[in-house]
Amino acid sequence: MTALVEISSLRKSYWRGQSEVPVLADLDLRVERGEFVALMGPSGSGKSTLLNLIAGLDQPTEGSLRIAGHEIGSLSDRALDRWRNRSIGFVFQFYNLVPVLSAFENVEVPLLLWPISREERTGRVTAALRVVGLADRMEHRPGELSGGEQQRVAIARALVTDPLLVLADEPTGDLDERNADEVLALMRLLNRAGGKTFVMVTHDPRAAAQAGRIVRLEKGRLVDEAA
Amino acid sequence: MRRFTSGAGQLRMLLRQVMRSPRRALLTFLGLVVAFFLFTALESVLYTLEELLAQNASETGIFMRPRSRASFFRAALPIRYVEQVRDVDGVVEASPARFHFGAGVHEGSFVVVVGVDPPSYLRLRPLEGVSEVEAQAFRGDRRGALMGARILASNGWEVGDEVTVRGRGRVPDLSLRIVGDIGQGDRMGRVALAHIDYLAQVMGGQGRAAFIQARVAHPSLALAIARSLDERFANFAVPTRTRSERSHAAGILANLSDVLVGLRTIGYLALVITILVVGNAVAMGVRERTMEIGTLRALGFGRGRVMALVVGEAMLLALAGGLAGALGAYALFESGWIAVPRMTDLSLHSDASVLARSALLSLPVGALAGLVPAFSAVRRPISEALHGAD
Amino acid sequence: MARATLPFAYAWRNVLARKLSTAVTLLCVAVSVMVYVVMVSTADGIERVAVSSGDPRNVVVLSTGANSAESSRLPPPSIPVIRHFPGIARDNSGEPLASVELLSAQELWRVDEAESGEGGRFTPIRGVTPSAFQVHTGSHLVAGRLPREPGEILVGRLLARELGGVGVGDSVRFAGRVHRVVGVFEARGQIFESEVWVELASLQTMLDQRDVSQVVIRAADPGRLPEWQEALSESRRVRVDVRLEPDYYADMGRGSRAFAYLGNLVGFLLGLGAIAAGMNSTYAALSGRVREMGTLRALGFGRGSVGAALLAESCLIGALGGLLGILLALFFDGFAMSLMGLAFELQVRPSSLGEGLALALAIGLVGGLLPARSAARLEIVDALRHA
Ligand SMILES: Nc1ncnc2c1ncn2[C@@H]1O[C@H](COP(=O)(O)OP(=O)(O)OP(=O)(O)O)[C@@H](O)[C@H]1O
Ligand SMILES: [Mg+2]
Repeated sequence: MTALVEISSLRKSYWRGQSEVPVLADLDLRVERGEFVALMGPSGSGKSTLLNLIAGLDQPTEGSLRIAGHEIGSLSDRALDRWRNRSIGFVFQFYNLVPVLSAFENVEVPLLLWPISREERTGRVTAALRVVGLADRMEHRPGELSGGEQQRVAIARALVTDPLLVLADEPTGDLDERNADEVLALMRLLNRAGGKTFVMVTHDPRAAAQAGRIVRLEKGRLVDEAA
Repeated sequence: MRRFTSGAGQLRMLLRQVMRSPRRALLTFLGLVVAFFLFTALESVLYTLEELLAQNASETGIFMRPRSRASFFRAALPIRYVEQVRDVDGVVEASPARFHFGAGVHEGSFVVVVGVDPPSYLRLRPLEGVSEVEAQAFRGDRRGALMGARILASNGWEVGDEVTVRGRGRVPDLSLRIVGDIGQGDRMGRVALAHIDYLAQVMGGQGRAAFIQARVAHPSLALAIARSLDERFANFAVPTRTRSERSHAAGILANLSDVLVGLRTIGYLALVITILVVGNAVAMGVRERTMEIGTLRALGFGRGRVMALVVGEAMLLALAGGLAGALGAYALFESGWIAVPRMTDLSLHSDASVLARSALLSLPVGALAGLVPAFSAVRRPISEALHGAD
Repeated sequence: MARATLPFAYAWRNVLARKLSTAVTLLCVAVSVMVYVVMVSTADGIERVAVSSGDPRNVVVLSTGANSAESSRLPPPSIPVIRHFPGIARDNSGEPLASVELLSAQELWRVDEAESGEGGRFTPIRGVTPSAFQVHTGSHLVAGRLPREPGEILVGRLLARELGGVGVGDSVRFAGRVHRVVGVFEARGQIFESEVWVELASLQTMLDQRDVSQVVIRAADPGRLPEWQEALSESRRVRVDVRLEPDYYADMGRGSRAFAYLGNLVGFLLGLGAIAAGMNSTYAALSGRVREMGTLRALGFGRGSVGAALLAESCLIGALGGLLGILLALFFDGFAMSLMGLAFELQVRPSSLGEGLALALAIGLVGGLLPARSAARLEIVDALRHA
């Protein structure tokens, strides 16, 4: 069986006027189903760039990037939109919730693109919020929730579509220790008990310690892989 | 606290602030241009109207007509009243006039003939476009006429021609000898001046005028003389009603007042709305710059200076947009392109005073617009502002 | 369902979230719409008077060459000729349906206003005989009685209102004397409602004039009106111009088009201003929500969806502003105005309201188009990195 994420000879550059700014060079990486990978490295090393490429938010300059057997680079914009909606869950450092929508409605947002009934949607959203322990805060708006709670809503939003892969960019970066621990525990639970695959960018060694595997990036290259 | 070393530095900072979001500046500018264009245009329309009525209404002019009359144009006032008006103390000159409406060369063309007593009329209303030679010829020729440039042009007539102003229906034709050109000025382009007694001889109604105009020695006399004249003629066969030209013009304006008030209200409404629009745009900038304003204040800018910066930004924008809009409307109206339909003689126009008033109004508009955002800019404690918006 | 868009609630709540901006834009749109509708309604009000005036069975007989009653003079000998012209309709008692009228415009004051004060109202005074009420269909007394002696007058409903509710027993002043109101009449909204009616003979005495201005006559056979009109105007016994009564008044309403024209122009200009204001606030809404838009894109919403959401916001504000505008304009329905002696009521027609709403939607649409395009063009990665 193939790996969930298969990256080979991946290169990514940005262009600043005429000059090329290489960010990722000659990168190979495999992530198996059910893994929890932590992506570490100094600031500017290209972690977010790599995550964005895996998410299909950005196109590689060169090389191959296959997820569940699909070559991401060859998908059309429209197909990519659909792909992300069905297969990827996102967790951001600053939660990125829609401030004018309630917790319930925020979690519901990705399902609005699904051809399912209102009842089914409500069922899924409620279940996801129950998983993250916020079933009693459904009607609250982001402004009325703590940072940890907001991030848990974001995790519920990532889970509600039952994606193949959850991508998290510094999910605890903006949280205090206690909230961070809660969020990490939740993610590990989802990984261990729910079998969800996670790729998480983090600067925090304590967070990385929760992962099954740590991958280090330095100046756009993988340096070593520690178990 | 140190002040800016130069006013230029301050101005540069203001300009940077305004142009920080060029798109927003441009949109706000456009909103201002539109509002001031509209305001200036409406004020110009009102100006044209008021000026039109006030033009022939000098402060020393009085205007006598029969107390009861079916029509303004009907000649019902005895011309011999002129002598008695002239004899009143304080009256400088008096002159009778009557109207005749006829057709020119083309079917349906329109010639207004005003019958006057040439010597007294020309003393009362010297015409800029008429030379002394022409005036002399007019006075001396019973069938002579002075004609406006538009009549001459549209009928292909020239000074020296013998012409016929055709009557409509049963009204007889009137033959005249053109002895002078009034020109374009004095809003008399479509008017022909003829001898009143000759007009009466052809049309009937000898010895009657539609009205008598007079000039008094001093504006303060106008009202009292008008009243005493009416008392004097009260028991004559034709009682009179005399008003100062000013109050006559004011009377016409009063009858347009609903419309005038409406137009003026729309103009000011546009400006009030603009205050909100500009204020909102400036407030957006202030919100986006929360952190930066916090930094400025941390660097030692006082509340007053920060507020002045914000108000200055609003005023700069308002002045630019206000000037552009007002100038645009002014130029358009002064170009004479805008004519009142059917009254081809009357083209709308504007005046420097209208332009100046509109342009100056942009300053208070800007100041008012900047006030609320200025207060909100300095409302937050510096420490909070340093952390950025919201 | 794959092309699903963001729910309406999303647009609606965002509109509510940015209160100040929304309120300002709303007000701009509302004022544009209100001014537009009020000006068009002014034109419609004048036009309604002009169009509703006159009876299609009537003709107005004027002296030849006269464009209006003001310049028309029919000498007394011509009157019986016109009244007994073959083909004229007759009432039950066999009298011809002919209204002999003398028209004059006078400055008029309420008796409690000083005459020396400026600004008497130019008021049409119509000298009539009792048959005027038969010939001008729809006109009838609503209070009081007909004038019996000089100094007694009737006032039209609109004029009475314009004068601040003058009624039977009150007095007004014109032509140098005081006149007592003995009756108030209505005329189905026709132009006569802004007039004073007096006995023909007393107006003739007042003006010292034997001639009359016009005779309005009814055709016995309205089906043959054109031939009849022609026969009368070519009669050798009188030299007259004959015009169909409705046409005659419709001509007078032409001037009202100037207001409609001005209304369009002013509405257009104010609309431009509202577009600028709306665009500003929609752009600001966008720049405050770039990261949110990026997130939505990351969650799988297409470029079109986020653009459409922003456009929906702008249109929503436009529509709300439009509703507010027409609500404000409705307050002016029936508002009494007068213009050079013509009293009329503003008439807010449903079609003007529709046009006002269309104007509002156009403002919202145009103001939202460019920001929506910018939103659709956002790159997800950049948007997510946005501060
Ligand atoms: N859109 C872009 N245009 C140009 N350069 C970019 C762009 N995005 C990222 N970069 C550059 O690519 C490099 C890697 O950026 P990236 O955001 O992936 O770093 P990172 O490892 O996530 O850093 P951090 O830990 O600070 O988040 C940086 O030098 C950055 O300046
Ligand atoms: Mg990063």
